Amino acid sequence: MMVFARLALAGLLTLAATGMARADDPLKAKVGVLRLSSSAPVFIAQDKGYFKEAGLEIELKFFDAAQPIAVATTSGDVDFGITAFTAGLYNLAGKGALKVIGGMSRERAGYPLIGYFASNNAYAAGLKTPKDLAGKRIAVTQTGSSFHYSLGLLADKYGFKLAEVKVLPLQSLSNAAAALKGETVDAALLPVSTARKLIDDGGAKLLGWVGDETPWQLGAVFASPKTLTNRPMVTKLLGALARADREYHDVILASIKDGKAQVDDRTRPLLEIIAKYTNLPVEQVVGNCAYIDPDGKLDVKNVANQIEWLQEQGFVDKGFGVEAILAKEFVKAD
Amino acid sequence: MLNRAKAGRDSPPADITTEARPVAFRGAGFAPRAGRYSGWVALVLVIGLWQLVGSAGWVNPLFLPPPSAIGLAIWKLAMSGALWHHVSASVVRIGAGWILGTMAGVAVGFAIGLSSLARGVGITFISALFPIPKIALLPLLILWLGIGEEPKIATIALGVFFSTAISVYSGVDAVPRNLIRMAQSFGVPFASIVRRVIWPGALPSILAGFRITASVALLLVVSAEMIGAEFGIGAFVLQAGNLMQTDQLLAGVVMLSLFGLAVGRLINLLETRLLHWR
Amino acid sequence: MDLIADHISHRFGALEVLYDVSFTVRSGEVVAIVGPSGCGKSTLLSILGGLLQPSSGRAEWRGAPPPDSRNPLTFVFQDFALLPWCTVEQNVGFPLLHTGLSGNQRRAVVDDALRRTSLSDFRGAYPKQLSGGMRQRVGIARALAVRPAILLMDEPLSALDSQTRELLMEDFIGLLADGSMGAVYVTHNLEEAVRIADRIVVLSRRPGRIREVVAIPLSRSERGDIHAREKLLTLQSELWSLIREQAVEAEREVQHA
Repeated sequence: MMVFARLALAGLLTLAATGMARADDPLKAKVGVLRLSSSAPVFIAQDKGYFKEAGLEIELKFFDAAQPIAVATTSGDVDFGITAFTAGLYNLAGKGALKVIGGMSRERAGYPLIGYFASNNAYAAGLKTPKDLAGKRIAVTQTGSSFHYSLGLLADKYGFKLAEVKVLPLQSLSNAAAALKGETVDAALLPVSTARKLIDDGGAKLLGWVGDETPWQLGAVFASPKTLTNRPMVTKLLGALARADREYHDVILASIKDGKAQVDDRTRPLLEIIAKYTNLPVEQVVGNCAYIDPDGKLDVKNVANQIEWLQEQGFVDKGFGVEAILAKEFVKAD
Repeated sequence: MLNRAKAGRDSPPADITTEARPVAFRGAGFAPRAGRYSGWVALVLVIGLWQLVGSAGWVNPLFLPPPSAIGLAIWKLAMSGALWHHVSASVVRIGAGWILGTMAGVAVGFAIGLSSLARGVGITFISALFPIPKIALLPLLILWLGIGEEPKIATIALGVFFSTAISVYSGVDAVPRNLIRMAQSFGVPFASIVRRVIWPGALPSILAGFRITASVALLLVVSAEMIGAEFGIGAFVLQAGNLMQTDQLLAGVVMLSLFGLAVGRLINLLETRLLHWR
Repeated sequence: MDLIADHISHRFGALEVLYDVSFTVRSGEVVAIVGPSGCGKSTLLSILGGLLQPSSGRAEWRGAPPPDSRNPLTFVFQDFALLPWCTVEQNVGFPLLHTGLSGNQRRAVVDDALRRTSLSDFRGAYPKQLSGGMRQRVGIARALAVRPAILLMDEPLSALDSQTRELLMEDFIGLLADGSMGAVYVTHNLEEAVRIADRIVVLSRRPGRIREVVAIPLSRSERGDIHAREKLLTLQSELWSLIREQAVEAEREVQHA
């Protein structure tokens, strides 16, 4: 259903994009984001007026999945997209429909984001560490998703073949969680937000975090070629974001102990902003803080690796590399 | 002896001076008939236009891949042998789900049509459960049935069941009462009346129901294959959507609609076979 | 075999349809039931044939049906009630399917019934291919196939045009000629009643009760005669005068309802 809805959306947006002249005030921009704490700097910059101070009037458009943001950016419905890399995003970028202009969240040791989780039975039968995932039945949301790629990185790290693993795309996090709880898969890759309840209820066992095993560049800021022609706007947006990145890094990330941000007088205002935009209580936000580079840098090498890996799997069309999808004049490489 | 009046123009017209005028024909129209070729011609025209729009670069091929790209995607799929995997996996699921759902639906439909108790209970339950979107039940189905073939078949069977039950009991209700009375007046036993009068009498509605449920099964195969399917047309469409491979996505959609056409043909055949008496 | 209406009354909810109707159809006798619209003629026939339970009183039979009868009380319906998905042959054989006859025996019985109704050439036709008159012939053949003691005929000719009616009436008279079969003939057509009946039960308007039972003083074979015609016409107009006034009222009532 999602697919059809997205297709319909894309169709409508094409019409809108080709048919309507948009208001060309350079200081007005729409940004597509998910209500996830991995977009925290966006919320901070918006809430604390950093965008405004930079001379921008930003409207946040909220989506419920990463892919529609890429599609909406392509079609011009939003000017900037901020979300995770997906195979779909690379396919769009490979056709020149959008370009990456900056980095966002990362998988990094000490910052729990995506985890490997085992079903209780599989755990009892000896599935205790991420290394043991070789040869198991593992649920992910979609082929070519962040979860799928994380699994691929793990396979490379421990020298097993991804083909030995039975990867089961269940299309949604709730389906994957249900399969894990119902013991019909051995393991699943889930974000910490979905998995927390499962772990607390004893429905599954945590094996480890992707950030600890295989750090990688999870999210990015991107824009359509049309937006990129408006250089002042892009520069202002990235500047305001970098300011928020720095603040988020120095205040929240610096306070993290055992994967949790501390709640104190310094962190509380920012945590409350994140809580407001993600519709989560502060207690949940603290365990949910994605690592974000303080300068908004992008791990270009890793992005290149992602593209190669996805091309190898046949999820991304061959014939382009990382260079083709970056807007070099804006990207700060790691 | 009958006194026969002569037919013909031997009585003089009322007014010889004015000329005779033909009565204008005014009974034309209001009888549309589907031409034999018009549908195909229109289809070819639309596809041609579509291709033209794509080739001329008027729309981004990402948003609307031209027919040639879709054809190429199907061709590549067929050459790689994956097409067969996808189609056979889906056919098995659609077939099994449809047959199970239909058998249950026919049984329940007949029960509702024939027994007051089943009617009261059955209609209440059907009204309560029919509108539930099956896709919302996927996590539950996964918990109950795992992620093998069972929940996929169950998804399709559930969708088929309700429509079938409804069309069967309306079909049973629509069997002319006078035929049932006739059979009763000859002392025909209950089971025989059901088999020889009610079943054939309800068959037109049941077959019309099949037409709908076959489409429902095709619609639901995409939902069903959300549950961890490696192969299947639905799984293929989902993956193409996830990867933004729009030409592949439409290739999958084309396969589904070809499938729908084939099933429609099959039911036409069945109707001419079984309902020739109409 | 005699068929007896024993103090039959019937009501549909608050609507009283029949009131205390009693009469006997003797073996081989043809009794016509006439009366104004809505007087419960068809209801009475349904009760006599066991398709409807009367509110009080009962239908009963006495004596022995013919030894080979498989359905002593057999209906012929106004709308023919043929199975549209069955051929003429299958329709006629339909009531025999559950009787335990072998295929060959069934075929013989069906052939005989088709022959008696001149349908042998149409055995493979479907009802939709037949004219109204032919369809009713199939209905009659089906009734004959079970060897009834008494035919329960519910307005069997009223769905047909007048020429077809005439032809079928001749067929009925032929079939009933040997007295081996009785009939209850419900009709609103007095001409039919006086041509076919031995006795005519005249019902009053609703709730229907017996107003009069009129015997026809001529044998059926005599009635074709030119002199008899006149007598029958007189009889018919006498019957009409019995019914007319109530028919007018009945019609008004129906229109008000």
